[in-house]
Amino acid sequence: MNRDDEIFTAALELPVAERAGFLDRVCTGDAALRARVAALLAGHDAAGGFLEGSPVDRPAALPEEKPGDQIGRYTIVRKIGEGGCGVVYLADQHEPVRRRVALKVIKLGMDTRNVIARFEAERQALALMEHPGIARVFDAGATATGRPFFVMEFVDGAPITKFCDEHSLSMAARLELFARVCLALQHAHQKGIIHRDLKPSNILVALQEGVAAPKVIDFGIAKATEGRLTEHTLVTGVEQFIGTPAYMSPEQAEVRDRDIDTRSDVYSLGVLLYELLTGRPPYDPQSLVRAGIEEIRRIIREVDPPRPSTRVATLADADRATVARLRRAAPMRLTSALRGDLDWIVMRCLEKDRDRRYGTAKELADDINRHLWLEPVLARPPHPLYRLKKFVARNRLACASAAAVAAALIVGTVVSLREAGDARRRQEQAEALLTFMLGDFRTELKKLGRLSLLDAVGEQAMTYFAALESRDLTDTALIRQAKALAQIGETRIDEARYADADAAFATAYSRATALTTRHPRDPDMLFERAQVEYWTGFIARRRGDFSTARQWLTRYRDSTIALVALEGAKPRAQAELSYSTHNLAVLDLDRGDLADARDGFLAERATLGKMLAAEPGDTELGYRLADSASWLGNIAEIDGKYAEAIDRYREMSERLAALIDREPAVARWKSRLADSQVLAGFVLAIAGRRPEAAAQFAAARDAQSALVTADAKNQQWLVNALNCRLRAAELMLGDNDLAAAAPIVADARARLEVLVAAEPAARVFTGRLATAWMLEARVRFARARADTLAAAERAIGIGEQLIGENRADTWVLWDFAQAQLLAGRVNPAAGLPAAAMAHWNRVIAVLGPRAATSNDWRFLDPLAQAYVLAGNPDAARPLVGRLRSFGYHPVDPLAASTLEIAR
Amino acid sequence: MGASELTLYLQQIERGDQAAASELLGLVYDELRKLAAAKLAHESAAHTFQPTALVHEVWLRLGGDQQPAWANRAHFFAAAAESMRRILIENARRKRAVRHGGEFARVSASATGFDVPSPAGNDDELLLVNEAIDGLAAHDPRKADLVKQKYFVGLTLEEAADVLGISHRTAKRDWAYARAWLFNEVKRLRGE
Repeated sequence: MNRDDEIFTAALELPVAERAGFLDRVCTGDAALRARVAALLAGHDAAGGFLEGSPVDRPAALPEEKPGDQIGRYTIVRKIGEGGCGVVYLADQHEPVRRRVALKVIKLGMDTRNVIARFEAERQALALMEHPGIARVFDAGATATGRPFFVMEFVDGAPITKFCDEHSLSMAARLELFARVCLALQHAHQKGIIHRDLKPSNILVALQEGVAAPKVIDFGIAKATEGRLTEHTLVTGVEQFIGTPAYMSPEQAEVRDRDIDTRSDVYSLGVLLYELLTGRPPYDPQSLVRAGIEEIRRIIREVDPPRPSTRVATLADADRATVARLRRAAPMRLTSALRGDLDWIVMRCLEKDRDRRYGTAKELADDINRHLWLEPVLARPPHPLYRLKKFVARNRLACASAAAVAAALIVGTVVSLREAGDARRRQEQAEALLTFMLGDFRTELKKLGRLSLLDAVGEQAMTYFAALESRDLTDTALIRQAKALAQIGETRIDEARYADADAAFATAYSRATALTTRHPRDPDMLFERAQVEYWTGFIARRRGDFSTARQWLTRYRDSTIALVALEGAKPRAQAELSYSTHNLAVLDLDRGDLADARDGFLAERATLGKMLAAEPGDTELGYRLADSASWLGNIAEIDGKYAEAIDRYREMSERLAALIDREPAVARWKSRLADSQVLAGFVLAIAGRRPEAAAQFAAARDAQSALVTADAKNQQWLVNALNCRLRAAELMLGDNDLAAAAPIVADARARLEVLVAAEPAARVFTGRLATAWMLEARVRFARARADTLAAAERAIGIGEQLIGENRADTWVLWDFAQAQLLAGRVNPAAGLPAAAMAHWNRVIAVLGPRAATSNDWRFLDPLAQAYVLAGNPDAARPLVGRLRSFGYHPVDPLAASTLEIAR
Repeated sequence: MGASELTLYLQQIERGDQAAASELLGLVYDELRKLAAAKLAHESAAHTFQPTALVHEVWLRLGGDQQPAWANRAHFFAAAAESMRRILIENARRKRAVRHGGEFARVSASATGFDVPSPAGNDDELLLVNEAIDGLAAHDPRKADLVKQKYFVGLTLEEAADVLGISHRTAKRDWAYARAWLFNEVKRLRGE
């Protein structure tokens, strides 16, 4: 038998034409053998999809109805479509009336009697619907094979999204069409009928005498078939069901969905509007389907999708161009067209809590029409006043000037409401808005971590300013705009919206350079330009583009030197100098230049000390000293000086705790205190002080959860909190506490998937997603699950991508190496020593050069392990020696035993 | 029941106790059936099951997540594949019997929960495949095991290879051979 096997396998690898000759050669003298193998080869070629499916989850296709077949009193004419749960036919009815109908046969194994009973229960109500936007439902019954079918008015149209794209309908035309769909829904809702399965394929648009006529189909069917989120909707035919979870409201995603009302349809309408405007639904259907059922439920219930404008802004250029072309819009204008009213209208439909959605489809239609008529929409309170109330409640002291703030907010609101107003009025209002934005309000908001409030009013101003040319503006206008735009950009950075932020700074830079060109000796102009240089560099660094970052930060540093030359020892110049040295030091650290980085931070520290001596009560300076301590701690840590690192991080904690004592309401102090605890936590862990480490993580976690709860929009805090939880889970895994670690990892992973989908360019999100996958792999490994490798490969994939883009920081490399080592450990169990070796060699290739110039334990530990596993303990020995000399204790027990081999 | 029982069986099998293998099969089979029936009672009639998910759930219910070593899983999966096969085959035979009685094609939910409204041809094919697998097992049990894991439990080829402790490459070769062989055998059994 073995011989059959070998010959068969060898022959399969040959081109078909060469197989016969091959068999002749190897089977000489054994005709029976040749016949057996030839039969196998023939079987192989003829087998098609044989056994490729499972007998359970993909039952063989039912025999389909053919033209001419009779179903009840209907004659099939032809098949016109195949949807999620059924096949749709064009059919002829002969009695009691002769007419063309659409006949939908349900595919799934449903209890036909119950389906029909549920349909009958709603039949009276369905019969009452009489609206040009609604397709009539005539009849329901069972086919000869027992499957339920429904008979409806035949609509010869295309799904609404397809129709809009095929006719390249403009935004306005789409909105107008959509509003008519809403009114059709309103009619149904008034008759007590909820659709429950609104999606593009259920809203068909036909051209009637040149006018687009939308019609909603399938009323009553979702209820009768209890269409809802089950494993089945995912398992059978991913392609067919793809729309269903993407359009499902949070309450429908619940396991028990009895409690559905008209606002569930409003939610689905919101999803549809989102797709009509941006070209894709709020949650990517493909990722939803991949996420698995529980995860889908969670996403739909808990995760807020990006706003339409953000979604469009984060598209790849080519995709955005397509979206714009299909809407006859300029790609550059797309985001600003969506921002404001349309964002608010859509997001109001998509509220998780249905009490906060539009109460009826008509209210939604009315708001759309208001937008089209340039009237204020109801969806907006960008809730400035509502938010302001909360803000006052949170911190009375900070709101001494609350009345002035409220007045300014109202002015801000007016700006956006008067698009049709005359130009001078608008400019005055915009200037008034700027005065407000540049005032004390901003400082207070920033401390509270609620800068997003600024953005809500600032977006309108930004849209307005971006359209103006620098050369047409006065100096005063240029300065104010540069400042305002820079602040809008800062807000967006806080929210990790880097592309949006970059756009704001690009405009700001054009204003600032116009000013320095007009007034080369004026320190104020230079100062403004320096600010923009810094922020632009900052964004580049955040995005992992080190060379652009270095270029901008060097410009910044040069500007601050010039500033000191212009105005000497003034506090402003000193401060700027400290900032610019700080930022170059950070960049040096990123580049692995520890000595220069350390000198840079020590110099910054000295400058800060001088400044603090002049202003002893300055909390910002206190904060910056804490920050400097954190950098020095980091340098000590990667230099193998753990005791010093712990001291530095402790100093950081103490300085921040002192700031919190002084200003308990400032969210940023709390956030940074949590950061210091995470930093200290991991060094304590590798220094072998595990109980102290766990205590640090617990404290950090509580603080971060409170912050995220207080400002859910702040993605940076969310990602910080997730990072803290993931590293804590890593320690738990080190203690073999699977039960505690696994749910943390799963939850963090799901949230990160969403963040990454919304901000694919942000390195912090992507990197932490890899962390989550790596830890997921470790959980699976500990549970001996067969899909361990798959999880490890996800982490590896992201790691490779970041490494390839030169965007991998030390934690990314650490996670990547962990995942590789694990993948290698799994492979020999599957009998693949070569594959395992490839994983270990990859670790050696990536970390080897880095460990040659760095003492970072995140390089040394995995590299030494890779050498040991690859059978080269001699190469591991010096690395282990270095780690031991630092007093390093591996967190992962598997690492500990591996490194022990190289002692 | 639970972790201790599973651990006990797995240890006995490791020591070469064949009786324990059959005990484990009984345990897994009962658990799968119960689980499927329970699901059917609580979920809508539209529900069918994914064998992979079901087997995984049984593994967890029996305390499999507390099993440390890789090797043990192979025994469990062998039992699971065999159980799944029996449940499917029983289901197909029962449905065919009802149809032969001239009844309306649909039957009510069964105790197994695998009530898939598949036409007669499909069940017949399932029974033929089952018979062919027995033939394959007689001369090449390793390939037959692979087919059971992939076809009845619904594992991917790579997962099945991991469970059976063979390399992915071997699994790929075995699968090509087994599929061709079974295809010919099913044709032969059909009398073609």
